[in-house]
Amino acid sequence: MSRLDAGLSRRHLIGVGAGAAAAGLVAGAGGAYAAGLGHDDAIASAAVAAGSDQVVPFRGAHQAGIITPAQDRMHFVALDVVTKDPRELRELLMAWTGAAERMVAGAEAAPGGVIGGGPHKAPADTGEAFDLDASNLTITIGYGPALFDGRFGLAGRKPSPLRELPGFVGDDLDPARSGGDLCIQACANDPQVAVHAVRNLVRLGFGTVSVRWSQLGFGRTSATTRTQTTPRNLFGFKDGTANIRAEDTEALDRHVWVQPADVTGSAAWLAGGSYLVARRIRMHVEVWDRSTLQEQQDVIGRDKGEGAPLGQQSELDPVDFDAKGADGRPAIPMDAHVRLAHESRLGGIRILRRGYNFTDGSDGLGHLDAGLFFVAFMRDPHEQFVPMQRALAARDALSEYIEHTGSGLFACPPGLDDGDDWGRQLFG
Amino acid sequence: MRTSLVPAALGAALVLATAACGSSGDDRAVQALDPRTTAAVEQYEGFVSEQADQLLERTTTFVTAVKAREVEAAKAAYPLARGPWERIEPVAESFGDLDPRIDGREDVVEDGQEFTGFHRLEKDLWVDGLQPDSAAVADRLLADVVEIVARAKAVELAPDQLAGGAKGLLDEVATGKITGEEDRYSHTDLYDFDENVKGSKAVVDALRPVLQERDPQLLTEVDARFAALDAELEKHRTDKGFALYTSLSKDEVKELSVALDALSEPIARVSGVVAAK
Ligand code: HEM
Repeated sequence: MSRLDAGLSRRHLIGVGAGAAAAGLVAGAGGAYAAGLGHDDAIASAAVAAGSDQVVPFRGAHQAGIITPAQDRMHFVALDVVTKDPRELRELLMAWTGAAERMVAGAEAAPGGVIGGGPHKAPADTGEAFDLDASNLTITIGYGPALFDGRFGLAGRKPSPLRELPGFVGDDLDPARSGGDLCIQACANDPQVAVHAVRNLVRLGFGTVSVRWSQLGFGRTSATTRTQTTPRNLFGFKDGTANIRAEDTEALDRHVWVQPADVTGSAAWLAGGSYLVARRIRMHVEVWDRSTLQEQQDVIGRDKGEGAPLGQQSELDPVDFDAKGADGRPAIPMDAHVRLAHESRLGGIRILRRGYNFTDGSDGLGHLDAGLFFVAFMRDPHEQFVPMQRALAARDALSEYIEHTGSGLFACPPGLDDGDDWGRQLFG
Repeated sequence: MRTSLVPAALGAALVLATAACGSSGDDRAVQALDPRTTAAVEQYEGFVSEQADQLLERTTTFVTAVKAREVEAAKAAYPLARGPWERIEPVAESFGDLDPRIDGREDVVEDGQEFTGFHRLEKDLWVDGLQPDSAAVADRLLADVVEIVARAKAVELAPDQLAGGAKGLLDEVATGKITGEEDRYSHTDLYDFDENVKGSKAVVDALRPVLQERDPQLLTEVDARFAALDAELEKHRTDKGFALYTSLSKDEVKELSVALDALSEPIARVSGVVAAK
């Protein structure tokens, strides 16, 4: 009981059985990790007792970090593979699986990683999360189109929708903030926990992978479950209102999860997975802030206070694109963001949005380098994101205030079964 | 120069090694019983001594050219004179105030201290032109080098300092050379880069029998990554030596950095293996 009282920091997990946990992993006995820790239930209830933070299960049909209630912070990293040896990549993916599963449960990246290695070794865990609990950490992995170019014998396993995105009107993409062979999305309620996760995984990868770009997000801009409140983006508007939510299982199957029939043959490893589109979107907040409330609301198509569709009263009221304002013109202007992005204008297309606000300091010209790190999950990027973004890029009133400066496309595999690891899952 | 990186630890370790008492002293006494580590230390001390001789010789050539006001000859001698220094940098740096005098950078020199040594002459040669006091600075450099050479040749090292030095040399590259800070006037950073790596490799060579026995897999990994880093450096070799840092593209610098990171991780594990009984 004293353990429950103490909460669940990594520090406390050390003595409790992280060693046994590792043994479980090595033995390949799936789920042995949790068993090694003691009891799954004990972890969950202790976490509940300690506050709102919980351990998000690492294994399951789908990867965590997609329909998991959007955590408050994210650290996203895109990496290039630098080794030429497929075996090294496979081994790294296996090592990552072990470390990720440990960290997600609130343990150190390796057993005794912070101080247990003794004075003569560089610690195997970097330590900044030692006293912190699991913080709802999720670690989601994805693979970019370039990974399947033949360097690692994976060309035959490439799912056909995993093709580079086309350019869009108004793009100002920085190659140093785009692309990548792999990505890791770490989300948590404590930013230090997310950064710790990425840092330790990157460290395990030196010599095999190298960081291409990374992005910190300080606040969620979407709600992914019905129970979550809708957060606001840096334009001050509620964001995520019309999102697909975890409870909408039918919509998830239709729009988010890759279905077995989508990926036959050697690409079948992706069934149950999802495509991740990342766009670093700079928002010219200073210019936006000078526009009137009415202009702002017309650009989005919703009101700023409630988030209600223009012409309606409250946030969750259905959108009525035919409603007219007092002046007889459409209440939601023809070039409003929500009109152009709405499924009714796009042949029924939807996506699951899971983005984050960011500021990366300033631009040297007296402005914040701030914006939205747009992350969305979908079943086929070329059937969903591409037509949607094309429609927005061409006409969206929002375009005047934003600029896409980075881009990435990744295929996120399904969740892991007990005993499985990312290396085996990808290479077969 | 990075006085804060290695020397503090190294200096402290030196004191312990000579004092040979206290609990960590006991630790070292136990290690010293393994004849392989003792041999490794001896071999490496021999290497330090050789490099010290070369440092003196090449610095003399450099200083002579500066004093004769032969600018081109002095410029050619500059990166070469620094070579042996860079190979044994962690040892050389451990001698208190000699390091800032010999290798201090203009912005790192503390208040009340003069900007002297290699980098002051580098600035004269490449930027300001030789100054009235350049000859005096050169004389002082040589005198400081004579002193450091004497001390380096007498140094007694403990096995864990070797491993620390191998890592320290790569840290030097990561924080000073890959950024083009070290030789900011001459842009000959890749010479120093190469010499730091060679110095690190000399440590591994000395420890080779120890590693071979205790962790052959680590040794294989380290060797492969030294080779990969050398191959990257080789791309920038010219008939005279190395391309200037400023001629490298961002992508080329990144490739070097990736290969360096790849080597630095396993090198960081060497100390744990050496310390294991
Ligand atoms: C900085 C850029 C962006 C900002 C500030 C922004 C803001 C918003 C806001 C305030 C809403 C209304 C609330 C909601 O339903 O979530 C919204 C809805 C939406 N946005 Fe964006 N958005 C941005 C970029 C994008 C991009 C790049 C896409 C996709 C290509 C997109 C797709 C959507 C969709 C699908 C909806 C829901 C429309 C509906 O069904 O009502 N947004 N966005």
